[in-house]
Amino acid sequence: MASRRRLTQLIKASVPLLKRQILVDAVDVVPVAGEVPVIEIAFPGSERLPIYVTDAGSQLLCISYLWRDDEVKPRLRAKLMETLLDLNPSVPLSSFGRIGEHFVLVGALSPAASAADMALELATLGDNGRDALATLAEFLI
Amino acid sequence: MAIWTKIITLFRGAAHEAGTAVVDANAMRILDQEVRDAQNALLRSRDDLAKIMAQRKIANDKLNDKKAKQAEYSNYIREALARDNRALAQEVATKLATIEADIATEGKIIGEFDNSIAKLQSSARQAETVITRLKQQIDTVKATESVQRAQAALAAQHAGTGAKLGTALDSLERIKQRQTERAAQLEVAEELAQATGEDADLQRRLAQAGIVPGESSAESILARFESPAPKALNHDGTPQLSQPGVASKTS
Repeated sequence: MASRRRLTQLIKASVPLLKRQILVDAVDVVPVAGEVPVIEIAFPGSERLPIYVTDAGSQLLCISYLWRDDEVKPRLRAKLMETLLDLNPSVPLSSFGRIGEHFVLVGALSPAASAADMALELATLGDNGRDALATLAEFLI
Repeated sequence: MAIWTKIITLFRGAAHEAGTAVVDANAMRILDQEVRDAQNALLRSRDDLAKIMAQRKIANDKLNDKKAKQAEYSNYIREALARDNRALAQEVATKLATIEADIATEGKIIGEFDNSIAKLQSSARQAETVITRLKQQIDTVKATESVQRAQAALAAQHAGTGAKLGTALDSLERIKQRQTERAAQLEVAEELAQATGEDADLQRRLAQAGIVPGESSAESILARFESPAPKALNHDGTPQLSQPGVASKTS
């Protein structure tokens, strides 16, 4: 099953590469206590959303929380769903999804992913999150 | 039931629960139990497979023994006939007939064992694949649930410390603010450009009206030379040419 130490090491190795890719100085890596390893990667002072990385055994999941169900304009809800489905194939490396009442962007990596793979995933997910917010703000209350 | 159908049942229950639950906890317990049952069933089917393979081995050993007997008795018959002992050959042939009938029966049984083994192996492989995929998806659902808990805990922690929450809406606000700033910058730049343009237009019209000097042209220079020279401007009376951009030397 999931290895917390391995995931932490992978993230730590990917952070310098990530900083170079997205040209930021500050990246906070916060391991979260719990049965399943979860690490929060935050970008203080940036409009990039925090990314949560977890090891699901068969894959590494990277998740950014976008908005909650109750933050969607009710009359535009169906249109938003359609737009997300339409966008999904074109979004690089990430997909839209829902966890509970939250809309999320999810990227998945092989458990054998390298630090460079992880850095690319985190950089792309960050870009996608920012683009999603800027583009889809019209659907939000 | 298809694997995804089982996963969907997890979310259906959760939709009715208040709060942050990702999946219906009860449905998850049921599914976990289903996986355990399927794993136990797989183990039992592996046991059955092992038993059948053992039975096949015993049957095959028997068959090999009978085949050895068949070869042995065939030799006896050939030997007895060579020695013109037909009665003995007849007696051995009777025994050989029974052995050959047994060989045919054993061969048929082994064929049936082989079919059963192939079917059991195939269904065990399929069951194993289904269980592995189901477990992977359940693990993924559990992992996303852990992320959900972590996110909620961290958000609460940030809120507790009064720190700025790293939520999407905060980010959206920052993005909007940046966009507003950019738009304002563009507007100012545009106004400046327009003002400069208006100034230029005024200057051009003033120059046209002869109120301010316009740009030097060949005609204006000639006109300057052709007009009567101002008196006592210079010692030698030649017109003084202005040379913009060139600093005049004084000695």
